[in-house]
Amino acid sequence: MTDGPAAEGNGEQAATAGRGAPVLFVRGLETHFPVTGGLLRREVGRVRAVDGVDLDLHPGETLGVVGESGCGKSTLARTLLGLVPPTGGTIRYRGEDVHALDGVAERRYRRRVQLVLQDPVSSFDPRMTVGAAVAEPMAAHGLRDPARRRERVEGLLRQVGLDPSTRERYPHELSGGEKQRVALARALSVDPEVLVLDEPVSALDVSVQAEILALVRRLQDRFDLAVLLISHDMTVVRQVADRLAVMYLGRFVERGPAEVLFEDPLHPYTRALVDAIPEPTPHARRSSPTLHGDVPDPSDPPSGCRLHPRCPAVIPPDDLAIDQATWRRVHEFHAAVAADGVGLESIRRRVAAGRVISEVQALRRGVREAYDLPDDLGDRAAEAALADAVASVVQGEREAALATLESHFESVCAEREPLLEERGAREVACHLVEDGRR
Amino acid sequence: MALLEVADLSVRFRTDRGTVVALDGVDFSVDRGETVCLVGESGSGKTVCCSSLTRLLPSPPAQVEGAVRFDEEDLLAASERRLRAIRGGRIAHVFQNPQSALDPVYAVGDQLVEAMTIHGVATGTAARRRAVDILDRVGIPDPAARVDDYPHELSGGMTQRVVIAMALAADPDLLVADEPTTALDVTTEAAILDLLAELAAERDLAVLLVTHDLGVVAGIADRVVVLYAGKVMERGTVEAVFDRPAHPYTRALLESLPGADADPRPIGGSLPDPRSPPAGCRFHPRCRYAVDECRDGGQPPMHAVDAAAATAEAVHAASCVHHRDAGGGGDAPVGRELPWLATGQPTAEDAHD
Repeated sequence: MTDGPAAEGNGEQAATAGRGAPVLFVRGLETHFPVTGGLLRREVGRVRAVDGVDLDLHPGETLGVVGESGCGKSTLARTLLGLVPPTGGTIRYRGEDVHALDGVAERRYRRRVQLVLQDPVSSFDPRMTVGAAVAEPMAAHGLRDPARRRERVEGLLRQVGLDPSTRERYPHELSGGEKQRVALARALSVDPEVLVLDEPVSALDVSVQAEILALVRRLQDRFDLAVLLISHDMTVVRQVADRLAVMYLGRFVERGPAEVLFEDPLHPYTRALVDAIPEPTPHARRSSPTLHGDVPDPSDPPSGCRLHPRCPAVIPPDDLAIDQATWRRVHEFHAAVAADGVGLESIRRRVAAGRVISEVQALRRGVREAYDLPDDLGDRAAEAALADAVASVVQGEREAALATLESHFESVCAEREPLLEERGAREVACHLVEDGRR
Repeated sequence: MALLEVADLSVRFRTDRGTVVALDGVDFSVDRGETVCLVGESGSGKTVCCSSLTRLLPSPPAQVEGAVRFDEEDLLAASERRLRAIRGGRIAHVFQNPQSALDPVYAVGDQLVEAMTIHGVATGTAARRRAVDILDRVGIPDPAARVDDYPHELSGGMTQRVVIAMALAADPDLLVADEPTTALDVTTEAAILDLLAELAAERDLAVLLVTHDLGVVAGIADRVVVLYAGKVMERGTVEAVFDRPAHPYTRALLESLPGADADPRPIGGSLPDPRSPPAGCRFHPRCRYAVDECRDGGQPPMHAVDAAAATAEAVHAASCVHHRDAGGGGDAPVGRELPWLATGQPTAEDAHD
């Protein structure tokens, strides 16, 4: 049972050696959703929600998966639970391929891996008492004696810090925190080995979040659970996770021991998430956000490193002699041209008022203003190329603009996808780290 | 006189199982160019307070008493017709879930144009031009193209920007934002808060922002009003409230926040039943510093925390018996029974830089 994973293992192996076999062993997991179009509903594209994920989960540890909405975290959870079929890769539970399980073995898997969701309101039947809701999975998995079920329900409610009399109440009578406690009791009712928590505290007050997360810790110790905690909120994972995996557009970009990633995030995305943690003091008002724009469409992820259009640390070409902030803006302009989203119409409207120069000149200036590009980059060759590209954009010659930008401003980040590489205790996928620039 | 003056505002709901007192004698004010945060746990009455300002609560069942004076006009006495002009016109609301604030079957530009037409700001092509300008101002990239997008084509952060744009469409004087960033990613939250702060400064806008998250308050507020079970527990400038929290409830809220160094300390217990709130201070059943005096009578009056520094606008006050001597000018240290205040200096964990 243990030799299978060891033979196939790679990167994660070093970090997990000596801890025995993982409960869940995942390699190259892919979950793509087809995008159909046209009369015949032919596949016209794919949403790559999970696109090549490796992870190991051991008993007694908490792995936090963080990333913004739309990064594929919830799809990952759903795929692990078998609620969504993977389109590639393997999931092994205690050495067995989950995809091949059937009958008794499949039922056992479904019992051993339990899910708790974000919204405590919609996860309960409003007409079912708390006791019935907690007992339901037990009945479904074969505990038929009502007296024993009831005894167990009361025991479970006590474990999650509720009075056993809560059994007789209905979901609407409970606060959000109490509902989430009941959801945990229900998940624990069938003796799971793995608990997948998908944004378990996002719907709760900050003041209640800490209580629920402390409870998760306590339950994990008592039942030796493997916990996969999914959240967009770094402050939540910081409170419970032993290890952290940072997910962006279907892939892990950095992973390792939680304290290492919080203390010294190497990937610019991890750093941006850590920097976005609000400081609860009026003396450290936040600096402006370091990530530009939104998560792009996962059906058409950017080339190279998927973060590059938003990355504050995107790498300039070697021969370019301009500062990082200006380069970053040139890159942003480049990315907009590549995505055919310069917004010339908006710029035309903006410059139309109070124009004293020719329209072409006004537009060229407008484009530079819209992307915060200086009148002169300072580097002669680069300035010539940029002026050329801006002129092409204004004339509507996108292809020409793109060709110019590509030949002068192509970043390694847009060309080649970085792979996860070991750096001490963690792994990170970033060209900055590959090149030893950090 | 401040732009918005709320005095002794109470909201009760009559239900089959007794009267729910959602808000009980709340006072606060918001002036032009300042951001006031109402903060407290779910169920403390924050949202009811926001919705009762422009009488958005259906009445009955809600019984609203007290006074809401906006630009010297009593809104609780105003006619429904007058209120319709004020809502969305001079007082704009932004709610927590941006998707539900927009109509899914109209392009965002059409919704902006509609808002401007209703409030008589602009019509036709002028309104459309203005819609693009406002989208541009709230940070929507390529607004001339996005103006034709439908709400489902926008991300959560972009949708909230559009909702803020709609709120600004009629050039309001007061923006009431109820948990505007709770449904958003942390990275987006920071950007939306920055936007609100910029707009408030640029348009001399009064902002009333409701949140349960003190991290948000710290980032944006000028003044803070802490609510608990329908009562004001503490008020003051953001610096005063964070550096010298005077009410044990405020202190407990701050301690429940996850910080880099200390583990968060849960408050414990939960809000009282709004049908039968406890006698005395409403927080006493959960308070570590409760003494006998806290357990009977009504909620203690607001005591000035630091009488010497108190000015009319920025008074730091708390509804806690431990501060009752503060205004007397005696030599006794303020709030001496509250350990973190006993020395008269911020404690080590309160000190910054």
